[in-house]
Order: sequence, then C-alpha cells, then structure tokens
Amino acid sequence: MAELLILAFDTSNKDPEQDRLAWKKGHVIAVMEDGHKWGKEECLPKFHIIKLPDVKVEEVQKYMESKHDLFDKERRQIEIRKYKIDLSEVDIAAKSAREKDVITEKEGITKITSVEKLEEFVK
Amino acid sequence: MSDVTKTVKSSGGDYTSLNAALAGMSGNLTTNCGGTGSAGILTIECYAMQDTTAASTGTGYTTSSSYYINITVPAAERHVGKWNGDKYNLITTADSTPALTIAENYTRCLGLQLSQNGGYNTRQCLKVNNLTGIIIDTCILKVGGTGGASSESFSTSCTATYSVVVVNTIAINPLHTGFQAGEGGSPSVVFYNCTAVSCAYKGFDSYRGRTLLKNCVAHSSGNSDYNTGMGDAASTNNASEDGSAPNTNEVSLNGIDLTDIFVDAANGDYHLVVDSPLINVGADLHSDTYAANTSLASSLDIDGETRSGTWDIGADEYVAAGGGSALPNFMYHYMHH
Repeated sequence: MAELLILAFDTSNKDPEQDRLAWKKGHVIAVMEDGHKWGKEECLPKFHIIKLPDVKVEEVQKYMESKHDLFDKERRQIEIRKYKIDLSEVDIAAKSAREKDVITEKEGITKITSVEKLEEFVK
Repeated sequence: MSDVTKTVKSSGGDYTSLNAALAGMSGNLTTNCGGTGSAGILTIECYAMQDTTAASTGTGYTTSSSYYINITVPAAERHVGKWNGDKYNLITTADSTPALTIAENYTRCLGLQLSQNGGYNTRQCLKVNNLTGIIIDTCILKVGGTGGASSESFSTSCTATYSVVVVNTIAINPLHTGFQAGEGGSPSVVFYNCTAVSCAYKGFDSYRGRTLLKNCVAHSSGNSDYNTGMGDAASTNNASEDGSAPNTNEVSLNGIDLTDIFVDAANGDYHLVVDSPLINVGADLHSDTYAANTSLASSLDIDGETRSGTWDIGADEYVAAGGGSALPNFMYHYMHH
C-alpha cells in the first residue's frame, strides 16, 4: 500500500530546455509504503501527500519515471517526470460532497481509494 | 550570508530521501538560500539509511561558486572506503535512471554510496550533466543488477575546462565502465586518487575529451584500463595493469595479482595491503589547484586518514595499524628479511 510525496510548488529555470528538467508542482518526488513516517519538511507548504491504502507501491512507481530521448545513444533525459498530479483538481474533488473516493485527511494529506481514481488527476 | 543545513534521515530528520531534500530546497541560493532572504550554502546531510528513491538536483536552483549545493555524509556517519549498507546508501533499480543526477552547476558530493541495480543496459550510478563547478569526493559508485552493457559508475557530458573534479572515489562496475569522462578537450574532468578495478570494459574512459588524471589506478579491465589518448599531458603517477595509464611516471601493475595490491578486491575492499606496489609512488596533491575544496587539500584519503610522506596511488592511503605511516617498501623488505 502506497503513499506519494508530491511537490506543491514550482521551480524554474530561465532556459526553456533546462526548465523541462526543473521540479514542478504535481511531480511525484517519492513513493513509500503505507504508514511511512515523513520528515519534518515533507508536508505543506512544500509537499502534498496522497495516501493510497488499497494500492500497491508497484502500481504507482511509474509516476516517478522521467522522459528520455530514445533516439539518443545516451538516452538523454529530456523531462524530469513524465507525469504530474493536478493538486488543484485533487483539492476540488476532496471538497465535493458527492465525491466519496477522495477524502481530505487533514490539510495537505488526501486519501484516494483506487489507482483508477488517482489516474483522473494525472496530467 | 545565511548557510542552511537540512538532514536526510530514516526518521526524525527534515527529509526521508535525498530526492525530497533536493526538490524541496530548490531555489536561488545567491539571494534566498532556504527561504532565509540571504545568500548561503545549502548543505544536505545524509545519515545512516538505505535510500531507494533515485535523486536529482533538478534545474530549479541558482548557484554560484560561493553559494552552492553541498550534499554530504557527516564524517562520523560515513563509509570507510568499503561499501557499508549500514551507512547512508542510495540504491535504485529504476531503468535508465541514475541513482543521482546532478543537473545544477556548483554542486558538491562528499561521502555518498550510490548504486544502480536496474536491468537496463544504459544506466549510471552518478550522472553529471554538462555543468561546471562540480566536486565528487570520497564516494563509492557501484553498478549492479543485470544487463548494463553500456552502464557507467560515473558519467558526465561536461565540456567546460576543469568543470568536474573527482577525488578519492571508487568505481565498481563488473558490467561495463567505471569512470566515463566528458567531451571537452581542454581537459574538462579531473580525476585524482580514484580507483577502478575489474570493470568489464574500461576503468577510465572518455567520449572524445581529454582528462587530467593523477594518482589513479585501474586494473583487470575487460578492454583496457584507460582509454587511449584520454590523458591530458599533465597526467602523472597513474597505475595500470596493461600499460595504458597516462602520461608520465606510470606505475606498472603488469603481472601483479589483485591480491598483492588490495585487501580483498573480489569483495570490494580496495584498501592497500602492506606491500602494495601502489604505496609511496603517488604525487602529493594537497596544494594542487584542482584539489582545492576537496579532501585532498587536507591530505585525507577515502577513510579520512591523513596522507603523509610520498602519497599512495588510489583512493586509499596505506596506514599501518596503530596509525603510523607505511614504511617505504625497501625498508619494509629490509626489516622483514
């Protein structure tokens, strides 16, 4: 069962090509087992945590993948992450009275019941 | 100036992975280090744990030669020249993803143990992009897993002159290359007192560029210990088994077994044996321009022990039990025969 540590702010680089290798809001920074004791700064305002009590770590490991140039012999990294989690959409869903699968445990910590539901927030 | 220190610990620290620390502390170190409103050095201290999250600095920092990223393992917490799973170590199995990617200028690493244990052919333990102001010091870089036909313990694509300095570092890669240097020809990478043994392809390689090597050792490489022509003209006091060490004062290890050089090379222990041919045949680099800001400037080896007299070649300086320096070989043999 998994927990995701997601960056809650944008970093940037003035060079557009280099900016694709900068950490952005919504990037998954770490995937840990359920119940992981996060560090003192692994919380808002820097990070948002999504708990997935019914999802295995292996099922969400792909959100850690970066994008590589497959035609380059060195497989040069061209984006630091393939995917982003839309934290604004997660927040909206958690506040919706009709949404039962996205629950705010406390500010900055959201519980999502299935990987299918999580995928609705993946960009 | 407001220097900032953050910790990576399995519990009770600021972060529980190096990657989270690097992402969470991203910002402009020249004006607002760690949100202090002032310039400062960002130090990330890594404590005893196994970190399994591949890490990257990202490119969201602004750094300078004075205000840099300093990733370090405190001396009391550090390995002592041999891989130690009880100390901080970062092991990733993610395909194509280095254990640590340095994508930001002016980043220093001290005392890390990094391993890439995936299954993809092209992968690295430590990847340094085309940058400047990089120091890699007292690290152990180990490729494991399967495949790895193009893998490298250390790799950089840097082109700027003297942009990357690697000292007191061990590369272990039974699948391909130990140290892969950059592309500049001026040279771009400096290797001092580094060790690469039993690499399946080359101990030290270079795409096209020239590299400054001093006091380095490679042995038992599958193809060659050093790539032909990679050494800058000033390279000196390097050792090889196959005669490929650049450029002057080569120490030949031809015909000498690993067991007569290292304590237990087969199991990753590259400390020198008492009569190792690498003892007292190196150059003293403590005042060398490119050793500045490294442990070599304090005459330390990978164990944190003091190099004295004529330096030894490789990451380890032989220090006799009890803390004294090694006897010169002729005195050792004189006293024992």
